[in-house]
Amino acid sequence: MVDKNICLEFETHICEYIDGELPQEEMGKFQRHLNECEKCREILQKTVELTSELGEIEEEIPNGLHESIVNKIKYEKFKKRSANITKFVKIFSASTAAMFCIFCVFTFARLSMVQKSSENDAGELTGDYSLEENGADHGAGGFFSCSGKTQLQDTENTQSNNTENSIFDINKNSYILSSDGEIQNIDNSVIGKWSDGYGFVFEFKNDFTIIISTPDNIQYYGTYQILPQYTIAMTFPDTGIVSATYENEDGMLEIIITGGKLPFDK
Amino acid sequence: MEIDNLISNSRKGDEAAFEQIVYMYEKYVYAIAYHYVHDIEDAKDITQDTFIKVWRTLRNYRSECSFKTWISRICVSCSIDYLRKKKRNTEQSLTVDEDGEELEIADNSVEADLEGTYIKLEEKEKLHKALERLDEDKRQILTMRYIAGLPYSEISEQLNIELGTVKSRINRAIILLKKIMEQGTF
Repeated sequence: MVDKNICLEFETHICEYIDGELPQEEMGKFQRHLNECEKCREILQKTVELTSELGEIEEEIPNGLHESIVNKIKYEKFKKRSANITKFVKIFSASTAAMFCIFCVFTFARLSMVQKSSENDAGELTGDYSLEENGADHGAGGFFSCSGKTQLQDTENTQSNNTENSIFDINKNSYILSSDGEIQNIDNSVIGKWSDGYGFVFEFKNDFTIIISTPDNIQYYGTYQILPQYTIAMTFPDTGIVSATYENEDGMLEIIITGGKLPFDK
Repeated sequence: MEIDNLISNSRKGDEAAFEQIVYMYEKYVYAIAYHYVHDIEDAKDITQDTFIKVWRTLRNYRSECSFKTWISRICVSCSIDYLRKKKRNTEQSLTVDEDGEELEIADNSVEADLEGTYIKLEEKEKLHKALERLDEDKRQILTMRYIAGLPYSEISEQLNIELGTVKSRINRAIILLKKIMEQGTF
């Protein structure tokens, strides 16, 4: 004899039964009931079918929605890029002031920082490098600097997704990378050009210091290499490859950042 | 390309890879959004919001759950936020089914005019229409549980209601959905 009360009870817990959300005791009770009650078995089967159908629901998307999503993503990227550039402009001003202070510090105090290890001459950057904060406002997009002859410091690992500040510091005369794409000597004479006017600030110090800082939140991905070269050249091609080569009296430092794009890429 | 590669490339800013992800999941996301809000334009907005959020937070994705589950969570969350913001009060009418159980039905005179036509619809379309006949709470909870595939505990969290309430709502909703399907009262 089938207990009708259990039929009612089963129906009010049928989803929990299907989804395994009932205590074991209850599950057992309903399982025994199902063995006896054909009606409940039918209800169960129909409900399982219905929930399966629900799980397979897909909707044809309205015309234009896909394109609209893709365009929104592009806009998102653009917004972020614009925000970075705007931020950079602010940071550039702050950094210039900060660099002047650092210049004074370097000139008058002759601070020195210690290198623990040197670069691999012709390959990827390896080994340990000392790092000291130079007193600039890091939080506002300032920078770290390293000292020594040819050092490179990556503030995150080389596959970083969010390199906030990458500072390369070799002791060299002071040059400034202007926002209109020129590398200038301290007396404003132009010694080189770079292909885009945003993104980095370079300063070559009298005491052989080069500082390269990127504004916060610039995202690029890749590896850094140091190679001996004898040219001053910087390129920011559309491929996202960034290459910067610097000359100093004792040798050359080339920094190559590959893969990914800079905020100002085309 | 495997989803892991697409995710990895998208994280690096590769728009083409992300577009592939959009292709793969847009129907699914749109289905969740549509059945949650029951409005094409709102569902479109939510689908866009979902993918923007996915794009922004992709680096937070961990493989603890499937990517599909992760996206469905974001979509449900976007749907809830969207409705909260919109504070819509247009779906309100109420009818009573034969057993006296309250059956809240969205007021849509166009659909009512087409009642006769729905009889000929295939099962899949019937299900869609039956879902549309459910009141908001029931439709949303079924969408969360069976279309988005969220566990009971997460639904409870998202809707900020007791687990027991989630269970009883799901049961009531599925019973009603079955009844609508059987009666053909679309």
